[in-house]
Amino acid sequence: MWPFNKSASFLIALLMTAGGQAQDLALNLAEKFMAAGEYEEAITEYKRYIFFHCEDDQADLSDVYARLGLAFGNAGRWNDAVEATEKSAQTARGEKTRDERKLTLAAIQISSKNYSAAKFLLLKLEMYSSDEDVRKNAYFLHGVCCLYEHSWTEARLTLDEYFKYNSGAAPASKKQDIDSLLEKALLTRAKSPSLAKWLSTFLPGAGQIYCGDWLKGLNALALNAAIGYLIVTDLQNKQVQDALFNALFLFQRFYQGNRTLAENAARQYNERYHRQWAEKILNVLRER
Amino acid sequence: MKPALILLLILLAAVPYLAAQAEPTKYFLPENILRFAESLYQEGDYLRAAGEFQRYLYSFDALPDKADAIIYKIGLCYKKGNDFEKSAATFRKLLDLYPQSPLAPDSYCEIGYSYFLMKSYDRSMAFLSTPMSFNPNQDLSLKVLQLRGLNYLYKKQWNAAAAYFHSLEPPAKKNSLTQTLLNFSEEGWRLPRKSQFLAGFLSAIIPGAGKIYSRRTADGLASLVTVGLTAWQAYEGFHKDGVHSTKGWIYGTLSAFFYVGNIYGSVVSVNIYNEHLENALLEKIGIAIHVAF
Repeated sequence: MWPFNKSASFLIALLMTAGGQAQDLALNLAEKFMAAGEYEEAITEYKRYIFFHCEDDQADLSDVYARLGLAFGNAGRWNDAVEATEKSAQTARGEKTRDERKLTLAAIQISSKNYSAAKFLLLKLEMYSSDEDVRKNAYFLHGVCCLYEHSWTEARLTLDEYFKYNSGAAPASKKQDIDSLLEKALLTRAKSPSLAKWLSTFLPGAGQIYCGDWLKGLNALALNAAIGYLIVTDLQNKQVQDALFNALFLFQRFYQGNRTLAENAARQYNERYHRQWAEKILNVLRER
Repeated sequence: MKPALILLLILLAAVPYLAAQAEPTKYFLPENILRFAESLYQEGDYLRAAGEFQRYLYSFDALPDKADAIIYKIGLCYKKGNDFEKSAATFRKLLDLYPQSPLAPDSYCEIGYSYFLMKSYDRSMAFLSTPMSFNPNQDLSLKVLQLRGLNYLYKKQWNAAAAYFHSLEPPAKKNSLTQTLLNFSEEGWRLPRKSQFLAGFLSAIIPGAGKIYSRRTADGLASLVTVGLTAWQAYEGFHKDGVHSTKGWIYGTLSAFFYVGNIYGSVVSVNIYNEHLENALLEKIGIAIHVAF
């Protein structure tokens, strides 16, 4: 997965246009601070502009709120970023601008890992926006959101829609690349945590080996075999108390641990594998 | 001529409007900076407001009239923004620059309170013991006295706190908050604490008993079973093969390790128990003083 600031900048940069009112002193300063990466100072200047122009009908506060949201997002203050971008959508003049701000809002929500809120917003834009560009971008962001959630089938459906809108601009090879990557991601079978657990229940270490972790698997097998051997020897020597003690204190601990670790190994494997596929697909999309 | 005249009149009427449109907003006029700072303060964006109040002060060649009120506001901004080191420094600056300001007494109290909020209780007490350069009013004197006592309470010096509140003269002593704090210090003194020594001693006699004494029954029983079973195994080993029994030595060492750990764990669990009791009381005190300070 990308570092979040990087992904936020990427998603938002896709949707944002540079502020159009930079003749104003406060906005000029804000833009310079933004360019220099001094986001807190930029926030102050955007807020200053908003404070002095909140009753000015001529001022396009929507754009400034959008830039403020971007500054908050870059400063990693996601709640403030969402709030500012919501205001940007509310104060937007014209349906298209309002929908564009909502796209930015969805991008911020994706960046703050609030995937369900982002998807809800994007679905509404896909269904109701009258602007083709907005719908196209909504499908794109929806696809990205699904990739982060590792929902490959949904990602495929939404990215298909995106490429339908974008058929003229995006090269056909890119769609093919993404299709083939999504196909592979769908076909490559993830490891089942419950199967891993059951394998390790019947043969300690087998679950870990099933997940490709041979070292931990063999370690679990050796440990449990040694403890099992101790218990059997105790029983053969009719040392029932010793056998019970070893079973309760050693076998129980290591055997149960082996089962839990097998389940965790499968989950970690799946997370790694999903992340790898998502990164590959996002890398292709990044070249949009 | 008539249409030209009408056009001229319209143009003349539009001049002030056009001029206003062309004139850029003077954001950095001192009064505008101050308005913006106040709005940030109202919005709760305290640290940003502090920066703007500073900018307001810097926009003059010399400190303006009522600069003390602005410095005081900056101190409040830092305090509300949880930057207590800076709030203490700002209130100190006010005291240094304007010792006779009507805000000096409040600043004095705020410095002590900022140190208190930083959990630098000794620093707070040391500061509140320094002589004041002004005549405090009754309310401020009371607040300072209560703050001194609060430092004792938060240092968990319950006896010292009780003695201090008892030593106050009326009317400070009769104040309802003082009485509440006095009750808290007596409650803190009488908290049903557990004895570390007794916990260690009990665990030395019966493994796990110290933990049960400090209300950690499950931990205590686990210690009893662990130490008991390993000791039993060690006994079996030595009983069967004598002093050279490998099993006896392995389990004996394990048992000794668990036994010592059980005593140490009991002492620690009593500490945790006592700390939990004291912290619960401090939370109650925190709620009680929240309104007053």
